[in-house]
Amino acid sequence: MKLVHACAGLAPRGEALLQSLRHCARPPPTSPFRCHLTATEPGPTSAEEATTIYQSCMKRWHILERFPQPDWSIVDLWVARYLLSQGQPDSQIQAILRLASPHFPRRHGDPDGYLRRTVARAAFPSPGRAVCDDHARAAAPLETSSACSNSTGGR
Amino acid sequence: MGNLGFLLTWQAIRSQLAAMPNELYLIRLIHHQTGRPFPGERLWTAAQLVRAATIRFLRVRNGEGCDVYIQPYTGNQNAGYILVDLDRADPTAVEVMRANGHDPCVVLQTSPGHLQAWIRLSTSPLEPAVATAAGRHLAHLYGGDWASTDWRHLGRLAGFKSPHDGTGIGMLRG
Repeated sequence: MKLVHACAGLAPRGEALLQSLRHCARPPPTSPFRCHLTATEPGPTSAEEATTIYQSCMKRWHILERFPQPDWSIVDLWVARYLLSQGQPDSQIQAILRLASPHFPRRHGDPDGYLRRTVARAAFPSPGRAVCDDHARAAAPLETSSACSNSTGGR
Repeated sequence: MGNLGFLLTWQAIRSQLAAMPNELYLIRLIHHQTGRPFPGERLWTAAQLVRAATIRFLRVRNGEGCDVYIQPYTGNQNAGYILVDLDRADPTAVEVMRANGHDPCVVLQTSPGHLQAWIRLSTSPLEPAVATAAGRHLAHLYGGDWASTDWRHLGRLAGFKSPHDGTGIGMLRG
């Protein structure tokens, strides 16, 4: 067992994370998509809210069961497409992806540009098949509008 | 090897405790093969933990097959440290943590490809619900194990053998 790093100190963004978690923890959860999912109330998205939304989509679409190693950019696109269909503004969707997409910013050299492109691409109609070849081979194309329509899903 | 092993264990424990200061630490010993806890849970200060007698006791238990676990202890609350158990996670996960401002204070390699990171979010105790939510959020972000996200999850104590690693006791690399 190797101790590969040991240096005392607070995580610089630890307090911001805690604030967002406390903010979201106040009202009891009533729905997996309870957090600011109306276009009239965009508001700031907390990390916990974003994670709840993103994970609800993942669970509903059985992402991890279908794709052992998901291409997260594809999942981001699906989440963005779904949120657009719910009337979410672009800025809100970008915030959700930034906060909740696993390992974000991954290897993106321009994270902001990536988020803008993803949301812009999501605004176009679904081509009816998965964008990623690996995903297309692994399972039937996912039509996000129908995959997300069941509001009883998620956690 | 006896004296060197003792010295390396002492050095590793001291480094880990210095990086995650707390008044008390909960130490738990679990037999690797049977999964049974060694009787009793121990609350020790850092000074008590680095005593020669304590280290000898823990090394004997470790030699008998017990894994040694630690958690900064603050009664019914979380001490401000969140464990992220990176089992087969992306090798760049720790770099991404730093890029996101979630710098870990301690990173342990418990076996090849398996890391445990402690992230200190607060100097004051955290409510269990908030600590658990933070653990889940961080595990989600960095590909951590969701089974290890409760507010009082224990991580490995550096300086002891893990049945999985085959590399012996911990060495400080950086």
